[in-house]
Amino acid sequence: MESAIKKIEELVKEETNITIKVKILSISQKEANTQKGKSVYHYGLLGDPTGVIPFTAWSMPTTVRDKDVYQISKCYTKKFNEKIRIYFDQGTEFKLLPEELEVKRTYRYYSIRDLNTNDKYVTVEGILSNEKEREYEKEGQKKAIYQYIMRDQTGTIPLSSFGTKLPVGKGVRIEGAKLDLFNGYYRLNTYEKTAIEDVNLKITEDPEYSYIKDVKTPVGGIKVSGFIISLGEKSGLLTRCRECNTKLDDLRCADHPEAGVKYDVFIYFTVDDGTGYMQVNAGFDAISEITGITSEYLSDEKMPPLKKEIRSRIDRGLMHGAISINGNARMTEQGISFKAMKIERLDQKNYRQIVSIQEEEFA
Amino acid sequence: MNDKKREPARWIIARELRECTETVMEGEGESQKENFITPLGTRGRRILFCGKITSKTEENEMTKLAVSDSTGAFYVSFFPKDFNQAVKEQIDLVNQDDTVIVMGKTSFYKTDEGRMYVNINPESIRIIDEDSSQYWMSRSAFLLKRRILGIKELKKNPDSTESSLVSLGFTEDEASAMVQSSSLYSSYDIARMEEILMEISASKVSESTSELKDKIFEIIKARNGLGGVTYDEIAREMKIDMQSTQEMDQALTLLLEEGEIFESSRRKYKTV
Repeated sequence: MESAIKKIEELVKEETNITIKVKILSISQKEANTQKGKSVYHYGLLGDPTGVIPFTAWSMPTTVRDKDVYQISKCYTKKFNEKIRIYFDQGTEFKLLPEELEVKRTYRYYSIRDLNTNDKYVTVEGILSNEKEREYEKEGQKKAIYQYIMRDQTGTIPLSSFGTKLPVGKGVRIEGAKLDLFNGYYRLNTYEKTAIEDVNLKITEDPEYSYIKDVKTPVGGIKVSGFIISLGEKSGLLTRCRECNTKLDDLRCADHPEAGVKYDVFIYFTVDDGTGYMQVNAGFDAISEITGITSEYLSDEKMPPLKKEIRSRIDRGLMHGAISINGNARMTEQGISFKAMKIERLDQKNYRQIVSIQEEEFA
Repeated sequence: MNDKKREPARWIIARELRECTETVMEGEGESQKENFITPLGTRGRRILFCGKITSKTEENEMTKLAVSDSTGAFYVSFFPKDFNQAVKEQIDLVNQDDTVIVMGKTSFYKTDEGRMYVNINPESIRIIDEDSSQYWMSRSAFLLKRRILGIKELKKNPDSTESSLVSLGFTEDEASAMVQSSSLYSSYDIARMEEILMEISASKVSESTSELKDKIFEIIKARNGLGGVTYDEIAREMKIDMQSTQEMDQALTLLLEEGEIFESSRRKYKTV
């Protein structure tokens, strides 16, 4: 027996034998290996005037297309990745309706630190900066793309807007930005259906501290604290070719043997904040202040820097106290890798911020 | 974040470690290892702690340290070998009264009466400042408070599982250790550790006092050229009622103790 038509906003728990009247918004196809061999299933988004929900179709008529409106019966809902999803199988019936259907798009709000590509369209709030404009060609026409860095209290993320210039330096709320992973980092794109509005936001320049256990997202501007519990053996002084900047294992660059060498520092370490640990790497700019290693010291030709002295300064600066690290997380094949942009000794101001975040949890 | 599995270093206060009477085997086959598990759900072999060295003795080649974190003492023993010369150099540099951070592996000795003694074999030891030690204590107390809440939840709802704890916001690692601990220490009285936690919190300077301290410092600094600023002037500028100056007094005492300010004459202050 066909059940009464349900609205998408009513689909909040796991149930069976559901009937819905929806517009298919997108359909994608995927291959899966099952015990019976390879099989193909479909997934995508569908919506009605009350919202949007993802679907998985283990079986679906080949005539079902996106942008069409259907009455779908005998389908069911289940939780997947903590979100309700609608499922179609062999028993599900599709009836094409010759009508238009208004779809209310709803997008979940995320802090930048908590973004996750399980949700491809999201709502974010932040302040835009670093505007860059460039042109690209589409179907023979020149079009503009505007690139920004979006910042909230938890992190930063690159954002591209196709054709629309966005306000810089003040709070914006972006509903329906598309999230994807590019070159190991998350980025956001706005498109014609993205809603952008001005909002009042209180965001300080200084990001709030994250617990290491929560650093799972490849975004920038992440701040963590902790103690260095192991310093990589090869951390310290290194030489580079003056011409091409390549790191040298030998005294000369194979491509530019006459160019000479210059000195640099690079460290990698494990930092632990009690909630977890992570591997971090850092270059000269990140550690110069805390170690007291200056560019003058590295470039003194009369008295070149000594490996032992560099190592000793790194040890004194980094291993004898709690530190604060500001940096960028990147997705690699081995998981998240963290590059420090600035490492400081934890001072009373940092400490108070940390205590305040800890206390909030029990408020 | 922990793809290449490393044995985590547990941040644990001395008193919690002292309460420990149980160990559990983790892993399989040859990689099976004995871990301590406390009544508050800390499980592991490696620990990280801060404290003041209250004694350092050397017998034959062995160095013994007692490190106190204000809730109790950690006992560290070190035998120099070929592979741990870097640690030996670090141990040689620390002395009684130094505040240090230590990471080390634990080993256990159980008496017939069920008491367990934990010894720590250091993997690194370094002198640190008071701010860093305060940070370690604050974070360790925060983690302990989380676990106390988790253990209380397990006592209140004995049907709770690891996944129900995870749904309350605990990590899988925390949840798994708490569930295991709860069954091993079913009669443990958690109130003892809650008292310790309250003592730790009471010893911390409150957030508002710290903020007040910064504001007062700025007022004194701004008037340095004018021969300093009096107690009453600070109170007026801060709009503090003269009948309730307790927090301001605490902030001034802290600034004096930290050497940020001095009394240029009675109840008149200047920055150093």
